[in-house]
Amino acid sequence: MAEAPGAPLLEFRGVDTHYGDLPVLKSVDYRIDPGEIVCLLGSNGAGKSTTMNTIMGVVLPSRGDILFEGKSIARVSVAERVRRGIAPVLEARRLFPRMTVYENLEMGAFTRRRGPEFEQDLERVFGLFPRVKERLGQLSGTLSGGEQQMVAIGRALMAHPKLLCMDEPSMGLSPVLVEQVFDIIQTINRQGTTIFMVEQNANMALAIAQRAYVLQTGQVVLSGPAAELRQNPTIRDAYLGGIKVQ
Amino acid sequence: MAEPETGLVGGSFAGTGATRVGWFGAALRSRLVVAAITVAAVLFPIIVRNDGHIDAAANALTFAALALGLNIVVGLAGLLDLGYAAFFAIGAYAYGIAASWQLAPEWSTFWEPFEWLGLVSRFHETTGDVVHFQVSFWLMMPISAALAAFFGALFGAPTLRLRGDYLAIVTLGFGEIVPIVVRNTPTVTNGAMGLNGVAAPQLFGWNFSVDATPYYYVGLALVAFLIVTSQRLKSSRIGRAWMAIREDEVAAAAMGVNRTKLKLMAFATGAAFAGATGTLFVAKLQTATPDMFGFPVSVMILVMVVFGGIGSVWGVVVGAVFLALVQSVFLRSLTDAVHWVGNLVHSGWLQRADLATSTELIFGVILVVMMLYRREGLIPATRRVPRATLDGQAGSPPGLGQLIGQATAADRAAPLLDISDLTVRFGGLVALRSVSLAVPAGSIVAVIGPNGSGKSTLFNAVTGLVTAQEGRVRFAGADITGLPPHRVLEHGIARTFQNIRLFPNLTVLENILIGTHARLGTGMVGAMLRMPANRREEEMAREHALAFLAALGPGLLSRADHVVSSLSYADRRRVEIARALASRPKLLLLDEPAAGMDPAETLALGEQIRGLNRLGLAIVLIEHKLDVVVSLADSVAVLDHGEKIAEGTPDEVRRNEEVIRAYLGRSAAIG
Repeated sequence: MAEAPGAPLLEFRGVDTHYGDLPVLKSVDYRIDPGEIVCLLGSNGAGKSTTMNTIMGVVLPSRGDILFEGKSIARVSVAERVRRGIAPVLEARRLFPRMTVYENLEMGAFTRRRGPEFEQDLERVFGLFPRVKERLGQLSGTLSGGEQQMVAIGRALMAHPKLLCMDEPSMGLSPVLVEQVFDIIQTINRQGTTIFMVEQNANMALAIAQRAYVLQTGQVVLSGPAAELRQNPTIRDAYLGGIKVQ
Repeated sequence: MAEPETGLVGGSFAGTGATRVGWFGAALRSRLVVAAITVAAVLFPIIVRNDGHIDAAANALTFAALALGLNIVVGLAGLLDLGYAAFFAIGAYAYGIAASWQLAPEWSTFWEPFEWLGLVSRFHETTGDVVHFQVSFWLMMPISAALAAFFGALFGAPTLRLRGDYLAIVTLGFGEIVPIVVRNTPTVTNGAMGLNGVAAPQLFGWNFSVDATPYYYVGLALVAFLIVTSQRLKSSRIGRAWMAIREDEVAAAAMGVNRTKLKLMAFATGAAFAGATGTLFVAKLQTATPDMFGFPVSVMILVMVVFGGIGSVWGVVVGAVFLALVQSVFLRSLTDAVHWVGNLVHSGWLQRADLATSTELIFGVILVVMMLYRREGLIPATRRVPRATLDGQAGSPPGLGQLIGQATAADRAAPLLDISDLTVRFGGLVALRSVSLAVPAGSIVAVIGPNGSGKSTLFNAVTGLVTAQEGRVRFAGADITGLPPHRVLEHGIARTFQNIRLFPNLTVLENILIGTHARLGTGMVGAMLRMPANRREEEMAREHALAFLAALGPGLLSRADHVVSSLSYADRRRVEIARALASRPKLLLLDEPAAGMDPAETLALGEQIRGLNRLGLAIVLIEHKLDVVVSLADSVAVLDHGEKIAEGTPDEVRRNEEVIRAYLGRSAAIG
């Protein structure tokens, strides 16, 4: 692998965000290079979902800059960010429940012109999730949690993103499904999509990520290669422990 | 191991007292404002002395009373009613017929007792004696209200299963039917011609006649009474249940709210307000025609409610008075001003312009502007709830041990919850196939399985949200199969939902108070009269609610009057558990309580769940986090494709090949 320090795909430079008067992110720097899987760890309320919202443009930074492929996107609309190649897989999936699976996938490709590429991406989604193909005509609200997560990821892929932002892809999934979803995330990454992921399941996330950031009360307190963080005693206590089986 | 009951009992209540001064300050201020409004309203006719203006003000008060009634239905209970004027008509015609010459049957001895009561009189005509109805206005006001309430419940009944658009369409139909019936029964109502010569009210022999002032004062008294009634209802057990239905009907039912009863009560109460107002309206006009109660009137009242602030008692009063005065006074004055300007600049068009003819246009513009810039109305329905004042009491808040429903000795003899051969089908799909599960009193049972395996359906079938086709559910010795959700809760089973179903626009405290619904007794009358017993009950409910809140997260206490939608995901989960506990269950069903919690929070939650269990509460837990399951559960049942594939201790289940294949996967089983 060529480790040449090329241009980053996404970069946060000293970003602050506020909800009203309440500061959330405090001078945060992230750097995500093309082809990476990067995960963001931290307890609830640390600012993980705010990070996702700031990347997508739902929350605007009050200070600092956000660069995507070298261009500032700090004041760019959500729709424009999707058009430029950032696609979200939202927390708790957020499908359009009264639309069919196929219609949900079509919505994912909303910013693009319909054509052979659409069909290609559809085939790619079917390749990753054969189950989704079986359920195309079903209302997405009637799917099981695992199937919904597959459609949610599929919908994001239909935007043909360069960067896929995933907010807790494992939430509410059974252990077997968590494994499958993480396998699929790796496959998507190998197919060329960069992945930035917020995850409570730190064990699994660090196992597939190349690098990780740890967020605490809105500040990055630790970052580095995932393998190193897995060995870090602080991280092990805080995020990998949980309730240990006696 | 003697672990302390971590953070469960005796959560700190420090800080609740600190806000009291501020709250009393605000209360004093709002009392002063109310006193000033009252004085101004009472003095208004004495100062103004213009009969036309007093008349306009009296009409505005009529609309305020109607808006208050519709606010109960639309604002509190969330039932969109587009035919509200029908109840106004029923009240108006009830008095109109009972105090006019419309019905004049021949005299017979049948009427003598009524004559003695003063309800009718004998009138001599050349063709023979006839009956003249002359029922007192003061008597008819409550009778009209009751009659309208009856029709409110009657019209409400077919709409019970409907919501939103469908409900609105049906109410629209009823709103059209009533004026049509009036038009087509001329013998009773004089049809399209309308009732005439309705008697004016009398008070101690003094006839109100056509002077506007006495009607103004009656209207003022009526509005004052309805404001107090609305406010008392709103902050009572009944009002909370209405708001719960508005926010999330399914969750309301699961918290013990009898939807059928409460919805009918909302329709009836709203209709009663309109019935009483109709009486005043027809007495003042001394005539009534069907077109006074058509669709435009219903819409007008709805606009007043929306403009003033849906759900806000003072908001709808201000909204109604303002819009009614815009129509009757301001537009006329404005037209005069435009004519004056027209004369000045010699513009023929301005001289002839009449703004009063474009009322609808002007209302439309006002409404659009309002929706763009102040969607919640003039005075948004603030939901500040006075905190329980625990600092005034000696000792600590009630320990949770006394609050949790204790299983009796009889409950311990047999399994507390006994599910046998439960089968649930959705069309052709079998969601649960002959599942049996026993939960002993005081135990923790975990239900695990792949997504879509029927775990949540099991909870739904037990709590009455879905109907099982076969099988029985027994709880504490009683057969609860097929009971509606609120009855299941009354038996002592409370639950949380996989995707959190709190009432999003209510405060944390209000959410938990709704959990106490089934354990409180204050009804409609109690809420209106606010007797000492009702007050004590309410205070106690607040204390208990705070105790449960403190048990689940001491940090949440300072947020008791925050709207729940402003809380973090994990905090919302905690509030939902506190709400379930507030119903004082013997059995708690938790659907993925740790979802969305980080490891530290998961750990704390696990300890809280164990603490609750030590207090005697039985718990069934759906959870994907295996470490939680393993550390908490006495036994584990595994579902796959709607069937129970394994059951046993956590360790037995972890080693079960079938379970590993269907659910755990290799790494989890080993780890």
